[in-house]
Amino acid sequence: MNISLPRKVLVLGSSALKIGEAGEFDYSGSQAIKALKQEGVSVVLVNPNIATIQTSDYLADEVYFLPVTAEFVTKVIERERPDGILLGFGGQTALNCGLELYDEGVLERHGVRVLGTSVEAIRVTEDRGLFVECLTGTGVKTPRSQAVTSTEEAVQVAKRIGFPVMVRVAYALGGLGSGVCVDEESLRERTSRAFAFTPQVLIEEYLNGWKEVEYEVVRDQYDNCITVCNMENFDPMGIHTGESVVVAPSQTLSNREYHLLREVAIRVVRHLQIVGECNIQFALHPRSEDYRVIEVNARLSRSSALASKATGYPLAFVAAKLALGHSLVDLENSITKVTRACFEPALDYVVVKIPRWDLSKFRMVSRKIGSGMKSVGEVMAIGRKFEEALQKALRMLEIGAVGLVANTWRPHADLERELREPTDLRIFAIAEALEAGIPVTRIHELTHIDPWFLHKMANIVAIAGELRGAKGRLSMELLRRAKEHGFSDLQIARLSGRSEDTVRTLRKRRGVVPVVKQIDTLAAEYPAHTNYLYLTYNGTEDDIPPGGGEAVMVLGSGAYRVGSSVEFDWCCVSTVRTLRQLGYRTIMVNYNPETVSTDYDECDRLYFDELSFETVLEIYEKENPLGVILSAGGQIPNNLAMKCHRAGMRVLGTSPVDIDQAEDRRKFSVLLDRLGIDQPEWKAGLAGVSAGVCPHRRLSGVGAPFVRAQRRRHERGVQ
Amino acid sequence: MERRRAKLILEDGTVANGWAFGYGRCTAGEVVFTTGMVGYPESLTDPSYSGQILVFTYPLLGNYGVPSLEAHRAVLEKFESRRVHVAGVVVSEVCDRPSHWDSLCSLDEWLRRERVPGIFGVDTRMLTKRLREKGTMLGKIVVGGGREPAFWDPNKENLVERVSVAQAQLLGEGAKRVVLIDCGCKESILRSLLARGVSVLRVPWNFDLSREQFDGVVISNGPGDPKMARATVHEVRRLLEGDKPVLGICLGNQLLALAAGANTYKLKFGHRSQNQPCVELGTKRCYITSQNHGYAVDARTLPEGWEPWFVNANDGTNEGIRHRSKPFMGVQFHPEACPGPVDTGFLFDQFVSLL
Repeated sequence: MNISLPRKVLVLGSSALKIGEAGEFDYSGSQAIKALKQEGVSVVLVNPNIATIQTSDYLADEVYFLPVTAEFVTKVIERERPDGILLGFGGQTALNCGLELYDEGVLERHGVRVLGTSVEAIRVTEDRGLFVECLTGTGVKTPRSQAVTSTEEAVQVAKRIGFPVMVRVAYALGGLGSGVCVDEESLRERTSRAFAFTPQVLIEEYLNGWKEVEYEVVRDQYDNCITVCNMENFDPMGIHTGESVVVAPSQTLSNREYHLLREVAIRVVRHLQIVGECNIQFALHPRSEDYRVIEVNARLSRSSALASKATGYPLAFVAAKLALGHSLVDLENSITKVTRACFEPALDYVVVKIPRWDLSKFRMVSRKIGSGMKSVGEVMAIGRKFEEALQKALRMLEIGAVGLVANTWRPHADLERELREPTDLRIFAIAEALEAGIPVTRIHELTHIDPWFLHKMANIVAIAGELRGAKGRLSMELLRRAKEHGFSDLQIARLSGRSEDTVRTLRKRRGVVPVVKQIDTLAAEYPAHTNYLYLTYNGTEDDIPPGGGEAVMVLGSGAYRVGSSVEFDWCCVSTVRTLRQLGYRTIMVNYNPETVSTDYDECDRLYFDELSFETVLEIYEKENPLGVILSAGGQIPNNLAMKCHRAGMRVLGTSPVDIDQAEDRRKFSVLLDRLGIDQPEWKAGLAGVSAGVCPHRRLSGVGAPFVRAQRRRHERGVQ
Repeated sequence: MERRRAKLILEDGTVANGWAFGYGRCTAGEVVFTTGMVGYPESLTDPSYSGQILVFTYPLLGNYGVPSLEAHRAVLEKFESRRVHVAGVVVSEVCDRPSHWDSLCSLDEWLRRERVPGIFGVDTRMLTKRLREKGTMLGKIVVGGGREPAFWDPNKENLVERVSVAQAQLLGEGAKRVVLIDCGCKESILRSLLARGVSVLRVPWNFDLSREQFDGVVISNGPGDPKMARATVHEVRRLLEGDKPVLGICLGNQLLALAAGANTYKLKFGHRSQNQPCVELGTKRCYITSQNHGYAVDARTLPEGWEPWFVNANDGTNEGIRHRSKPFMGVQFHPEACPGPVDTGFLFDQFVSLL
């Protein structure tokens, strides 16, 4: 097709990682750059984050490590003279910067065209007052609300709508400053704080207990419009979608509801004239077909990164192509290579996303979650049962959980309160409540979580009960059913009073092993040409034969956390690229949807699955690679070193014995002594003696506060 | 739910073991798959599935239960007909604790009442790949120690005759009257027409229209091989001699093509999904459509005066035809949706505006 391409395009990155804006924008920016390069367009990137893949030398033509602010970007524009700019790939930071450049006339002055969704449309989606106004007359329902500019006005409006009300802040990242106010006093407090940093807030009807559903919508300039994915929040309205457990596709919506919302989504996106990708959020009444459109994000977002990985549809790549003027019909489906990008993926699996919080690393931070974003990363799990995906995801969090049940932490003191006032650990409180015999109806009353999800969790609890009763004999039927419901070997071992190795041996002897399935966007209707894979116990046949040739397996870094983020994604992607250049077949294992390493075109086989010893061993046995690289993915794979070694896997690079020597504090100390190298005095498990407490095998000193020295430090290490 | 063993046997010898649900009897039919992720009450009551054992590729079925049948209403709102038409259901997991405000019973209970067997615990992705590679096959569900039935090919029978209405029925009060030839009509086609203010005379598949007064004709969807419904083709051929608007949907599109003199053929494994992209020829517009068909029109055989209207963006098969000068048109997809996207509902507006 003939389209007039820009010569040079400026892409704005998302700058430093922050809560609410993390690696997902490295993924979306990198895909945009790939799409532009494929068209022969010259790319200039502004992003000061050196840990990102998008700033690597092989992607953009020019990279400016400068702040993504109007001041600096103006200078870049003056120097580089681009004729196009992409604002939608660098999160709120890029969008806000773009709007400022537009308002200041910089873009117009230098003839820089905003590609994709227009600035006018972006502004409508960003300004909640304008948004509601814009949709009036379309028949689309939005929450009863009014924009206000003073606290007094807020109180008046709230009285008219009726308490409780939702306070939303315009132009805010991750719902900052937003929240529910139950009375005038709390409203006054919240709005006066909000007006300190924003000129406008929105007072809105409070949709407590409504289901929260999102659609990812793509539209081209010829008005072709599709919904790539819908997602249902496990946690109902009131909890930010970034703080929610999210499931794709929706599980509790009927055809009527699904397509009612889909039709509204398309109507809204057409009305706004979005070109590219956007996310639309709905509240759906739990006992009728009443709904409200909550918001539209006219840019790539964390949800769109999740939707891309959940469906295999490369949203950011396609959005960039559409911004250049392509039509959806012209673009091919990059998984099948024969079908078109103009379609809506059909999933034949369930996806569960769970946020990763690191609240324990901050002092004085409430563990409660709500309408503002506190999570720092997320995990995504794929299964052919909800229970399977949920339990995988909980283990992927790497917070010490072996699944939904059989965890070793202390029970909650006030269970009902924990259910009513959600914290980062509510999901485990639900399991505890189910184990305590609290009925699903009561848990639903307290949490408003749809009973469908609660019944599924009750299934897990019930199987755990059966396993506890199987201390003597563990039947093949129960073992298989437990594996189908996502129980790990370790979890089964704990519940049934065996060792993990015993369970594994038992299971293997009985042929209870996972199968490999492909994610192909079309539920097997067409053959897939990519190897985007996951393991499941709900199947009898592998989709793909064991790979031939010399293969190397690379283990990824898991969820972003405080202390481990995009830098390890960069390491993994660079490792895989180098291996491919050297002619090796590459196998990547990772489960973080906000990464480039989980793009299926980065490696030969991508296993979107757990980085547990159990799963890594299963993949290793299926793939029989030359070896596995643990050193690119940070602490999680590194911790597997000795286990992998003992299980007979070939660990490439530093030998596991040496890794262990460096990671194990005691062995490391012995080594230093032997080499005659000084070290600070330390002693395991005796706090208050010396200065730094450095637990071993940890990431950036989790649980390692510097205790106040009560005695002078010794000069030499202890033995 | 107590678990009772069951197996699905395909004519190529593939055996998939699982567990029985629904009505506990054996069944035989043509095994097909659908990739839709929602809308099982609609799909299971769609008469086009008559004689078919339906494999759902989405692994969880029955999550939101089954609504009440609204038996007292003349036109159904939540189902596509008054009974389950599939011969059997194949799925990975069936939900025994559904959750929905509108749910009256579980899928298992519904299928028991409807005397339709199901099998769950099957690797449906494996089955789908088999059907995709070898084409649609005959198959049977064997429950427990039940006696194994013989393979049965529904396409060798006149299924339309079985699922059509017994007698003509007039619905709605609109001044304009549309004849709806019921070859196994989905209720939502009826709804789509009535919602646009026309009255609808729903007639059997072989009804003689020569003495009726009407402003336009819709030929409905339906099951099986279009060539089995000779009486309908004969009737449509007479309609094409006049100039009243005619709209064919799915099987109706194939019957229209046969009446016009074109040919139809069987697809390898058909289109049964809610995400089929169809391009309107001569435009840049592509619509996401709901589909359920095993046969298609061979566009190369369209006679003088006819042209292809829509084409499938994925595999290039014909998705609609129209006459170049007269108001005769047909679409292979389902503008009435249910289940699936409602993007092509405007075709009913266009049709009604021609009356």
